[in-house]
Amino acid sequence: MLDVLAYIFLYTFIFGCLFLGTALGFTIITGVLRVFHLGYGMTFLIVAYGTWAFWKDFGLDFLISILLSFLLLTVITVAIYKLVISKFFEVEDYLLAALLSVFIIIEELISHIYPEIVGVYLPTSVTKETVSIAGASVPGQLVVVAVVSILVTFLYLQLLTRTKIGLIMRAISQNIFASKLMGVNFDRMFILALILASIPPGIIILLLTPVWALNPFIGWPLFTYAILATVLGGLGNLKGTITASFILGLVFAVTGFVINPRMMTLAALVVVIIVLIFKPRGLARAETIW
Amino acid sequence: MAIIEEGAKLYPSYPHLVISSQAAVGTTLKVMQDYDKYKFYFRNLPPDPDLNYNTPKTHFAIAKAIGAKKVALLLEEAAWTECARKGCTVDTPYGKIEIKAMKDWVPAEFGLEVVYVANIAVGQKDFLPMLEESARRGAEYIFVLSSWYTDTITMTKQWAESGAKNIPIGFFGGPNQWGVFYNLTGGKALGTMSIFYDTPDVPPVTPKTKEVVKKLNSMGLAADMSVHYYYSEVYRIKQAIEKVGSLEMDKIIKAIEEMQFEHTALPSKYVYFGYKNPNFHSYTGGYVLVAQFQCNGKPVWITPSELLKEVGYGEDVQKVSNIKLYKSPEELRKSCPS
Repeated sequence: MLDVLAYIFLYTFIFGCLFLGTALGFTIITGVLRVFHLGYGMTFLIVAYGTWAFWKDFGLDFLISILLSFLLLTVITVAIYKLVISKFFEVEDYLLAALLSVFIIIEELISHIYPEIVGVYLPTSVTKETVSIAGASVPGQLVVVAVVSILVTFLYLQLLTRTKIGLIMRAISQNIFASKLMGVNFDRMFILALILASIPPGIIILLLTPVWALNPFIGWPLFTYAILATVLGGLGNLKGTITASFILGLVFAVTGFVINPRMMTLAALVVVIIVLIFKPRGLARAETIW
Repeated sequence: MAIIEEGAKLYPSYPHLVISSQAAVGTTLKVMQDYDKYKFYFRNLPPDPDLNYNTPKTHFAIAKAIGAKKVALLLEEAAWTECARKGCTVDTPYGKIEIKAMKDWVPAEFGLEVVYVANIAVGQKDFLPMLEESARRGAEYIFVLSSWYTDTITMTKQWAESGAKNIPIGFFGGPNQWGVFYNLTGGKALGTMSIFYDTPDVPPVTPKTKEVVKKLNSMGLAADMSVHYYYSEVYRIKQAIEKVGSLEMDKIIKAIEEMQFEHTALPSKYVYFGYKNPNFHSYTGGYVLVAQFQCNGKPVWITPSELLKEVGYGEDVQKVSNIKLYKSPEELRKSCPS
C-alpha cells in the first residue's frame, strides 16, 4: 500500500509538471491574446522536426539546429499572426478554423516529408537512469522534464510580474481596449506574447522525445494536455493552470496506479467536465493572466 | 463488414475477389454460412480467435523457455482483441471455436502465473503506470498484444527507463515489426522482442523470404507482417489465374481455395485457404518467428527451434532460430556498446 502511495505522489508531480509544461504557452495565448489557439499543437512539431531537418538534412551542429528550429518557429509564428490572427481576430469562428487548418497543413506536410518510417529521433536525453524515490521509480528524463517545466514556469512568472513587458501583457489580458488607449503597441505585444508562448512547448517536446515517440501526429495528444489544464484552470489564468495541472496529475496518477491505466485520459476529461458544470469559468478564472 | 456486403451485391454483375487483412471472424463466418453469396472474400490473416490464441503462444513458449514464471498481459483494447480480453465462442458451419480469455488459458496451458492485466487505450501515451505496476507485482515477462493502434515506440522508450526495464517484454504487432524500430526508439528497443521478418538476414521461411525483404528494403520500404501477407497474395492470385487460364472468377476462387502456396513469411499450411474448419478462407495462426533486438539493433531470432519443427518450418529456419541466443535486457545493456 505504501509503495502505491509513493507512486501516486511521485507521478502526481511528474504528470502535473508535464501538464504544466505543455499548457504554459497555451495559457499565455488564451490569457493575453484571448485567442483559443487551435493551431497550438504545431509548435511541438515545428521545433522537433525543424531540429531534425537542420541537423540531418542540412548537416548542421545539433545545438545550432535546435536554435534554428526556434528561429523557424518564431518566423512561422509571426507569419501566422500577420496572415491569420490579425486578419480574423474579430471573426472568431473563422479564426479558429484557420488556425486549425494551419496546424493540419503543417502536420500533413511533415507527415509527407518525414513519415514515421524515416525514424526521426532526437538525442536530447539528459539522463537514461531510472530514478527511485521511496520505492517508486520513474525515468530520469521525466524528472528532467518536470524540473524544467517548473523552472520555465518560474521564469515566465518573473517576466510577467517583474518586467515592464509582463506588466503590459497583464494589462492587455485584463482589457485590450484600455491597453490600446494607454498607448500599447498592440501588434508588437501580441507577436511578442505569441513568440514567448511558443518557447515552453518547444522545450518540452525536445526533452520529451526520449520517452515519447516522435511522429507527425504528436501535436494532438500534447495539445489535449494543454487544453485540459488551461480550460480547467480558467482559460488564461496562470494560477489556475498551475493548480489544474497538478489536479490533473493527481487524477492521472490515481487512475493509472489504482483504478485502471486505460482510463487515465477519460478520468481527466470527466473531472474537467464535472468542475466546469459547477464552475463554468474554470477553477480560477480571473481578469488577468496572473 | 461493409465491404463484404457491398461486394456481395456487386459480384453477380462484376465478379471480383476481395482479400483483406482484417481480424473479425464475422466476415469469413458469412463465407461459411452462405458460400455462394460471399465466396469472393478471403482473409490474409488468422481470424481473431486464432490471432488471439495460437499466434501469441509463441511468446509464452519463449517466456517459459527463458525461465519466467509470472507474466503481465498488456492488451490493446480494440475489437480484434476481444477474444484475448474476454474470451469468445464462435459457432461456424465448420466447427465451434471456444477460446478462454488470455489470462485464463496462459496459466492453464503454460503454467505461468498472470500477475497483472491491463488494457491499452487506442492512442494512449502514458504507459508508465502499467509498466511500473507490472514490475511491482513481480512480472518476469511482459506480453503486449499490440497492433498499429498501440504506440509501442513510446511504450518501449518508457519501458527502457522504468522500474520494468529489466523485465523481458514481447510485442505482437505494430512498428516493432520494422527493422527501423530500433532507431525509432533511439536504441531503447535493446532487449525487446517482436514478431519480426524485416531484415535481409531473416531466416528463409521459404525461398522467397530473404529476396522479398531485400527488394523491399532497397526501396526504402519496411516489411512488417502485413506487407508480407499482401505481397504474397498478389502472387497467389497471379498463380491462380495462370492455373485457370482465364479470368473466370468462380474457377479462380476454387483454385485459390485448393492450391498449396509458397508464401514469403509463413509455412504453406498456415496460408492454405481451403480448410473445412473455422479458418476457411483465412490463414491459420501458429508459431511465428520472434526476434530479440540485441547489440546495435541486430535482430536475433529466438523462437525455440523445436516449436518451429513441430509446425513445419524448414531446417534452415530451425538452425537460425534458437532460444539459447536470448539475452536478458540487463545483460544486453551491460555488454553492448552504447
